[in-house]
Amino acid sequence: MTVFQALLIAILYYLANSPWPFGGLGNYATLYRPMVSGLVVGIILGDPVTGTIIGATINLMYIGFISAGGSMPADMSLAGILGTALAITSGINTDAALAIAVPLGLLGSLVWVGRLTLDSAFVRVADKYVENGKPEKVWIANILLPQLLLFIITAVPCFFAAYFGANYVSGLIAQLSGKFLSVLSTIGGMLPAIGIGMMLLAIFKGEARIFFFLGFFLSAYLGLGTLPLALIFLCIAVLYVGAKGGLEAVRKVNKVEKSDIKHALSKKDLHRSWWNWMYYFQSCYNYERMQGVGFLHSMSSVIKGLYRDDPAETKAAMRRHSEFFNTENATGSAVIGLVAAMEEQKKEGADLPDEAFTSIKTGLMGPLAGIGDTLWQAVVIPLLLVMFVGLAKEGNVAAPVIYVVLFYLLYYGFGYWLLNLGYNKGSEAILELMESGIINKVITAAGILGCAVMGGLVCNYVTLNCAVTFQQSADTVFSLQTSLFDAILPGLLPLLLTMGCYKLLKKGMAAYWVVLIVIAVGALGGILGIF
Amino acid sequence: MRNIVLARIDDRLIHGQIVTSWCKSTSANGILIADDGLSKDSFTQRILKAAAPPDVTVAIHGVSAAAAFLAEEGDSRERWILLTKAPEAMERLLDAGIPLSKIILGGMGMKAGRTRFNKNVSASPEETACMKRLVERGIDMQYQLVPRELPVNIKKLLWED
Repeated sequence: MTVFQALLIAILYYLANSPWPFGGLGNYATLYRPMVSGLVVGIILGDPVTGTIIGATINLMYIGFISAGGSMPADMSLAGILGTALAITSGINTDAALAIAVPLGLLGSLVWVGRLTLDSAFVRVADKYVENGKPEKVWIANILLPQLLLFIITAVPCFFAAYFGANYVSGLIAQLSGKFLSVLSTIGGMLPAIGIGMMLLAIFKGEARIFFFLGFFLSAYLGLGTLPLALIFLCIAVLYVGAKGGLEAVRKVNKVEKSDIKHALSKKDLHRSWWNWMYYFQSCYNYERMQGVGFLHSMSSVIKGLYRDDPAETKAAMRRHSEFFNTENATGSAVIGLVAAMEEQKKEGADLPDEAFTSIKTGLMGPLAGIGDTLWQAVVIPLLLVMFVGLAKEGNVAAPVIYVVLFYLLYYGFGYWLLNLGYNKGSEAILELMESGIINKVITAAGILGCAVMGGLVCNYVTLNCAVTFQQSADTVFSLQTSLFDAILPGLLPLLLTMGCYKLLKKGMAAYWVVLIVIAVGALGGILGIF
Repeated sequence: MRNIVLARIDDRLIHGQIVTSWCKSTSANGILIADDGLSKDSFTQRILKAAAPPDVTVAIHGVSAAAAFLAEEGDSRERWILLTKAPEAMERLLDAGIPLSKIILGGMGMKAGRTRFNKNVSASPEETACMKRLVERGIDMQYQLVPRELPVNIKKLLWED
């Protein structure tokens, strides 16, 4: 690997954790995911196809990962980017690549904690701008300083790891025996079971469970891939929950009327506020106020628009929007719209004390995050990923690109709809949306679809074969795998392995313990010649 | 006495960590919020009720009413998650005779009068004193965002300075 390539990889790791180019959560759903970053790493190293294949393989491990409210189970971006880079330069196979990526993911979560701790320092800077009533300067506290810090704690270590690690790993791999690599591949083949097990934790319940087995059988006996499975079960899931009621609910939400709206803000100011929210809501993420500085930054264009000539009101408004805030990005757009409209009403003389703003913000932020985290992290992102991960694993470089485009359209479309809902129709409409049950319908449908696709994923992408054979007679060998398992149910061992991982996780065992157990079982089985 | 599967202090109440993690890991089918202010705030009540997963019922009571509710004989299949915004409400529930052996500290946002306690938890001097009293009466208090994370015993944090 050249210095220049290592530099690009380091910048990619920074970008995956930054707001650019797809926005705060946009990046988290795209560049942060190994399937997407694998393609980019491949382009940097001159082999996009291999990059896509390895990235998709590593991504399987992280299908079901959810980061809610400032918790982060593992850094899949480091696992994907550095894992793919090391695998391409050392030329090892894809399953072995996953086995070296997973420890990187655990290591990378240190960056997350470091960032949330250190970003607290910039809260002081933001507070200074609030005290001086300078909304135009908030970007320094929300973007410039925390992004510089982020660059230092991500790109710098990643550069050295990529540059020196690649040569080191290549040398190491060259010296290791074939036996070691085959054990590593065995482990790598088993690891996706954990990612699928985590995903099942969120969706494997009630009647949806039967669809998991249905998806598995369709794949095992008929050889269906995950994309056809996803499309077939999308239709079944929509039929199952009833599409008609859902459409009616959306219409009802859109119909909520609010007559006393008089907008004083220009569309430009509102949109700038929303873009700042979508891009920089988590740019200065810190334990003290979480997205508080991001919210203030987003509100600063509203404040500038309304109180340009009133320093006292500017300060007061900045103060009430620099408090603790934490929610999900797209659903949080509703709060941006709602609070912008409330600021307009206050400007017009409505009796809205600071407490009214605080109570609406604190009242909505938790519940909206509950809905948003479930909808995007547990439903849309993993489902879109599994639809395309199969193609990507076969080396189709268009698959990650289509995934990114689809996600971006869905995400920003939904966010923009909610912004306008909050802005034009107020809290009643948000309440109507939440109470309509439509989101729960989407989640139920996704549970069915998700279970079916996960079943297919187990069959197609978890690899575990039994190598035990018996000498039947002088010239025939009885192989447990081909003569027994494959004859009854191909993929039986991967199914048992996945259910085992799911049971352990369900019991509350930490994911990294499950990872260690799987590694131990794989290593032992590989060495003893069982797998 | 109703069956409590988790007692948690978290001022965002029902949010992502609760919906995506705790409800699943505890197999809860009910969430009880004990908070005096909320018991009169019908808007926020409606929001919270709508935010829970479909198979989880939400009950919102003032602290005394919540104690009475918990003391009732419930169905054996009931599995409640108890949520309060701050430690005082937990102490009042204990004083009212609700047996809690373990309390999870989830999140308390920064606001006037509070200083940083640990990561995303901020606390006022009164709240810190209250947590000390809870630990002193034998309650196992752990800081833990989600079930898959290692819990941190807050005893050390409370008496470190």
